[in-house]
Amino acid sequence: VSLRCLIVDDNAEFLASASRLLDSQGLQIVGCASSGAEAIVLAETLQPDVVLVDIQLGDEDGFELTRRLTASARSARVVLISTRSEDELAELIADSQAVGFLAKTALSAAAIGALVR
Amino acid sequence: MSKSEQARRTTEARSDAYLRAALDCVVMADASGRVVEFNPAAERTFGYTREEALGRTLAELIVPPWLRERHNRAFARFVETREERLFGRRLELTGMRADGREFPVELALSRVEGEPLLICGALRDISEARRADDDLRRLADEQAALHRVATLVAGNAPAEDLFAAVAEEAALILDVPYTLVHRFELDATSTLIGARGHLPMNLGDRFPLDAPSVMASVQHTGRPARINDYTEIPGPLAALARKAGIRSAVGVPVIVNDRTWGAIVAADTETAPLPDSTEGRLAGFTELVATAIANTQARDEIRRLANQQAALRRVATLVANQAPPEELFAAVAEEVAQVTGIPLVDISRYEPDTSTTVVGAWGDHPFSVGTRWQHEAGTLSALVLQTRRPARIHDYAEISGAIAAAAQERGGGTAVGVPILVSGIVWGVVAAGWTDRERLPEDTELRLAEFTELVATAISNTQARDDLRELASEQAALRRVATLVARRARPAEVFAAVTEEVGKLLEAEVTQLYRYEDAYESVRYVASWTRSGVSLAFPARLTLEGRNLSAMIRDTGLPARIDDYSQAVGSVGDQLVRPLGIRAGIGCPVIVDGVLWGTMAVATFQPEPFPPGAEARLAAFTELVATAMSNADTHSALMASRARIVTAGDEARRRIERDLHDGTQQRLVSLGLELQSVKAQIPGELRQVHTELGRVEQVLEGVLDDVREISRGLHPAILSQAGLAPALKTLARRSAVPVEIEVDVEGRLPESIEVAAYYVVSEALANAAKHAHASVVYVSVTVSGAWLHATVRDDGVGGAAATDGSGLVGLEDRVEALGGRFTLESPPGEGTKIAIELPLAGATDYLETVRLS
Repeated sequence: VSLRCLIVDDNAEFLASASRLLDSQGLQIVGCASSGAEAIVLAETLQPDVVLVDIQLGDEDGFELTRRLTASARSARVVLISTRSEDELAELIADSQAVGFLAKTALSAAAIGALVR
Repeated sequence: MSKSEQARRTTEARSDAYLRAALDCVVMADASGRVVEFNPAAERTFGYTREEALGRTLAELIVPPWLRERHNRAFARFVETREERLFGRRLELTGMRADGREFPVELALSRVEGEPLLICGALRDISEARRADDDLRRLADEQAALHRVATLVAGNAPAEDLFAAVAEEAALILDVPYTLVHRFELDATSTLIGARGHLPMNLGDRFPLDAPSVMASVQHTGRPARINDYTEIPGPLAALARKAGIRSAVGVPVIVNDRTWGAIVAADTETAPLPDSTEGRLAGFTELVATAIANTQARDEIRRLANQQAALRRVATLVANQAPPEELFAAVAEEVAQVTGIPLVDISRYEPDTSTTVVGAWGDHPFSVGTRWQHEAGTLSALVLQTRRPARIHDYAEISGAIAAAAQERGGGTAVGVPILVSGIVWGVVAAGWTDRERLPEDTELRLAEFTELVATAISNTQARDDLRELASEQAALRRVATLVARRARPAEVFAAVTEEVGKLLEAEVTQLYRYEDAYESVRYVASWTRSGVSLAFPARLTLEGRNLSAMIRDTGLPARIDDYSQAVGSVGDQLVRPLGIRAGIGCPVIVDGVLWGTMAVATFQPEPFPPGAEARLAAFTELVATAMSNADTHSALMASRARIVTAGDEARRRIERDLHDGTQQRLVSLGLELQSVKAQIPGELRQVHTELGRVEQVLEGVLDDVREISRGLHPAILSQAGLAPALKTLARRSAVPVEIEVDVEGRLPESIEVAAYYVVSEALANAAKHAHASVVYVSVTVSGAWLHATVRDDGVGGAAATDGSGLVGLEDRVEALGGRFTLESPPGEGTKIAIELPLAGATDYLETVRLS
């Protein structure tokens, strides 16, 4: 059974290319959100297995969104993603409720699967 | 008649005539000693008539009983032996008159030729001659005695020796058991200063002259006096005389310079009064004593003058050596007292109000140095101040008030005061006082005046010196403040310094700096200094209604003074003057760039106002305040622009970083993902294409890494992402040297503050790792009040410097641009400590805060 995945990023170009790639790699991309509010709604509606959250979501804070997503009744597993390296934000990532972090350049279904399982 | 008969008759007649005419007594006696001839002279001398005498023996007739036996023996021997040894010689014997009185006689004996034996004696009463002799001898004795006394006088013998000698000599000359030398005192007493004989009194005893006595009479009349019989005389002195067995006494005045100085008294225990000559003979001694005393007084005068000259010289030396005023005043008071013999001397200074302060005192003085009292009408200080001339007080009982009361408590007395005139101003008064009502010596004023002139000289010297010293300290104070201003110290620092310097310089208790606001209707507290060091509850804002310095300065634009705040009204009076206890003050405008900005004022809790000219001295400092403010304006503009540059730079970097992240980086990332998708769609057999795509992917990775590095260098993502605390923790984690970090920062801070703090810690950690070879670094970042404090301390080799080429220079610039402080301590071998303080409000805001606060 393929993982149902929601991608949250304020960059439309990234959403498109990431969806296509992960879809091609066997993930089921159930939705894409470009803001925190949208993400909350979609997550509630679509009940994805995993939510990919961009840490720097425009003016919003990916960590804050992570807290809100994981605080909901049916907790989604969040994987934080960023163009920055993990090293730059390690403390924040460690302190967050996310199951892990992926550099956007290292994005792949396998990596996500490894983090979620 | 025969010729011989005639001749005999003639002889008899001649002899008879001679006997009748002879001045000497001629007495003839026969061998039995009976008188056979007794001439008229003998009748006169011995008091017997010829008829009475004839037939009686010489012995019973003219020889005193106590000599008769000797006479009879001698006469009998002569009759028997006819020895003529005694004839022809002048003999001196004692004769006796009919009334039994004895008297000295001169006797020459001869024998009448033939028989029966007849002895003729010629006698002469030599009482007169003897008396003249005695008188001569006595005169000689007296002269010798007087000569001895005169020698003592000429030799300037000590007074007590002289008086003792006078008493002794007079007693011997007058043949009396007692003589006394008395000195009359000004209080109607007399002091025994010389005596001879065992008297029931001692030298130095004082006797009141209110009872009848020789001394009292002499003192009263200035003439000789006598008491011939003490038995009936009343009073203690007469009783004392009786106790000594004295029956009569004579006193003669000692007149010195027309004044009855004293008396010499001769007293006798005999019943008979002292002879009339006693007065005259004592007078010889009194004259000598008077001369001696006059000499002594003259000598004393000379010594006194010499002493005074010496005293003046000593004081003058103190003046010339610029001795401290208190030392000088003490010396003057002492010298005046010593030289004049005045028991109480004080020097007082007139204060600007109606009081006087004692600055020097000598003697058992009721007012010690530092005592301050109000002028009271009629007192010396009031009189001297009024008249600018010397003044006298003859009786303190005639004056009312505390001073007079204090004087009376000490027995009243008299006093003289002489003004100390400095540059035409009555600066003070030198006062001399006596505790009893002794007459004031006439020349006291003159003698005091010589000292007051020296004091005046000293004071004007001192004032000149004080002026110089004040000028010097003022210059130094101005220099210190000016240095701060030139160094562009923070205005708060300048204000603190200037208020302190001004306060100390003007001997104020409080200095305050206020800034006008509210269209000059009120002032706002800016800075202050207090002498006590205790910060007072200065109101933050004062409205300027009523009479106050700030209002006066606002209205005139000129310095202002209030010498007496007791009538102060309005908020200044209610909130500042009365609560703080301010009595007087002066203020000056602070004009910044031509605009009245505020006021600087000094105030005192003392009743004395500030001296004239204090405003000018204050003004010199307000100009520095103005310069500091003006500088601060320029400075703050500069600081603001520097801060803006830094902040703008930071913003630009963050924006670029963001743009890179959101744009370039994202697109490159997307491109990479696209590439992966494309790669996945290419059939596996097209290995060549796969390889090519893989190479493109790697290039893309490289580009992304580069961009990420650039991005990271532009701005630390975590700082904008999460703030200072996480960012610093990240730094600590990534540090090559172990870090112990303590961060106490709540929430987010202004970006430039966060960035500056972040870079300081970052650079310090890099230094610790790269240069200091430290084994541990302690980082502390805290926010307290309006300030962020950051400290980075390592245990490395030290020796770091914020020199060109060091990353620290940029940090220092950055911190100072933000209005903060950067300090670097890095002694070789003792590690490095970097500390910064940053105003959270930002540099521009901070300066504005200072100007308004």
